[in-house]
Amino acid sequence: MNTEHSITEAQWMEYLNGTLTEAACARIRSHLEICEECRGMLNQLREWESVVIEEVSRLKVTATRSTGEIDVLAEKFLRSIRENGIRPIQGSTLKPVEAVRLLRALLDPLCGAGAARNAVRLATEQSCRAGEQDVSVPNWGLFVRNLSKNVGYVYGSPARVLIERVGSLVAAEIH
Amino acid sequence: MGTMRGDITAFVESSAARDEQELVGLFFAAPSDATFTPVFLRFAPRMLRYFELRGCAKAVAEDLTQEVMLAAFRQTATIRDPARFRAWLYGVARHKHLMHIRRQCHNPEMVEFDELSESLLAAGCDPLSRSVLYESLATLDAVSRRILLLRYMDGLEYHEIAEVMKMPLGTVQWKVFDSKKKLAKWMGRL
Amino acid sequence: MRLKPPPGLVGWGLALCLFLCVTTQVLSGIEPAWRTATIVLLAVSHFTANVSSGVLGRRIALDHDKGTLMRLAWNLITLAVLVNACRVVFEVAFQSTGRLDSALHPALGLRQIFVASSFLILTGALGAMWSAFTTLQLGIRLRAIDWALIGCVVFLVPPVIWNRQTMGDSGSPWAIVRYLQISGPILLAIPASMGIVLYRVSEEMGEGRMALTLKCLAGSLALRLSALAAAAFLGPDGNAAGASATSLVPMVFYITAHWIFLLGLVHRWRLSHQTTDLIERYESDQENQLTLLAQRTHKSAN
Repeated sequence: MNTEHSITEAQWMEYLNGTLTEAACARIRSHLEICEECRGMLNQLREWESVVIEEVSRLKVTATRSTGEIDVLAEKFLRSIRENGIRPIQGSTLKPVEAVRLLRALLDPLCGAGAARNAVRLATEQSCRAGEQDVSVPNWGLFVRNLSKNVGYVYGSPARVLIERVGSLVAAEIH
Repeated sequence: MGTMRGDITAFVESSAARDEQELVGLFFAAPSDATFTPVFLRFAPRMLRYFELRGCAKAVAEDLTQEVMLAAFRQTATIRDPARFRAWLYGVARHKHLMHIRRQCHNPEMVEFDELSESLLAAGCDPLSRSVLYESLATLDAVSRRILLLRYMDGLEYHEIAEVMKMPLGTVQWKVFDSKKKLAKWMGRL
Repeated sequence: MRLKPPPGLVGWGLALCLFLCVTTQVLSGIEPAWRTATIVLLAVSHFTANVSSGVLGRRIALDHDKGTLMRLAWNLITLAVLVNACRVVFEVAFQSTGRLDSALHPALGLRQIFVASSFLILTGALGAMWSAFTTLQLGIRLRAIDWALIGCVVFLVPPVIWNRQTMGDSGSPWAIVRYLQISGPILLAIPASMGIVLYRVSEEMGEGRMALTLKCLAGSLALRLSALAAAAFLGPDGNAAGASATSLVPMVFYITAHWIFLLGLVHRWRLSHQTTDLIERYESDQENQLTLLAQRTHKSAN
């Protein structure tokens, strides 16, 4: 970690933001009393921050909408979702076997249906205990790891990464 | 229409003092258009500002804001944690903006957002182009610039920036500190 | 990873090379000076196809983790095509100074070292690739038709060797050159047989760019074997000028074989691009992408 005179960037930042512990603040203050370089740096940073905050306030004013305009937008939004019957998607509704089918649907166009089928079957065998035939919630992570490893071995690391990412996304949806 | 305006006004008045996380939490607990309205009124102005300060015309900013808020309305199950909502929203906003720029350029290849924003800015169609802030930010690399804009323009906390940028928190903090030092020195030379 | 050649470009390259080489070969029957143009164009065609294959092969190899059979396979393919490219350079060095006959210029026959090495390396590559596919239980069981085709390949070897006097370096005064030339059909028959196995793997795989890649590799090897057989059976002296079957058929097969090989690698490389694009889409727009995936799953289930 890069440091300025044994004070870390995170500590400098927290000191500037006023969120550092009192003990650390005291240490920095005593360092500043003896270090002209750090004092100069802090002054420059504070000056820059004040200019930036002023500029940002000015820019935000130019891009701020009136309450009336926001109301109109909100009306338009509500009208749109009510007319189109759009509803929030709620809760996890995916069973593990459906999640496996999702991954199959992902792999089919990339690997070919035959290869995808074999890869999924192999990963299922590797991940399930004796007597189990299907992937379940507890062994989903193991299934994804095995599947990504098997496919990645033949189709390369992009395929492995893709399965890992989508597998972890899907994991949040399984119940 | 009158009923809708009445709904909106009532919600604005009652929710004015509420913490935004609480509003988001209420929506997550009972997702509906009624509980989403205060969330919309709280976050839509920020989304509008996000797009306009990145070079989008007013009408385009409104369309993109609607898309972002629609995604937020529909995807509560994905987000789950109210504390992550703001970072998630800015991540979606960035993606929508990138898609919009790609459509404008008619280029199916991946376009680096910041190279393009520079060309837009060079055409003088961004309010940032006339500010000292932009001139100073232009001296930084694309990632640092993006992080500083999220911090100062959009007001995100460091952990939220880390989530939007998909970077470790320590890296975000280091980049902010390093960039601020560079910019402070740059301004000192003006 | 910005290199993204479209398959169509390979098609155009093949068409252009075929057109130019066949035209100059036909013209050489009228005016012998065109023969030099044919030799140069053939060399450029082979060199371009092989070097392009080498660049792509190496990038594909880097897609695989270290120590895996697939990485070894693609690295060996890269090496094999680069050895081919070196062979082209070696031959051009002689042919550009009018030294076309290894009977008169024995050193030219040393190109057989490149030929034999390339076939051996390619055999190793295809073997490693097949072994990797067997981890997904692909290519384990061959059908009767596959065995029949492998039998045809094997039975083609003795007649080709029997007609070895028609081969380019059969008149070389150096025994090592003649023995390497005789081993050529044998060394080519092995990867050609592996090509049949990989074709079976592609059929078991189903659709997709990897299946296309394997079909292209198999097709390329079949064409190379056909070129060798055509050169052996159609008559002596593949260096003859003019629009005869003797000169045109092997030439067309050779050119097509190299470019089809390149096409296979282009398809495999585009698979990497396709996968990387998908990763980016899932990272940036996961909700919509998962919804689309779910819709696709429901459609195929129904």
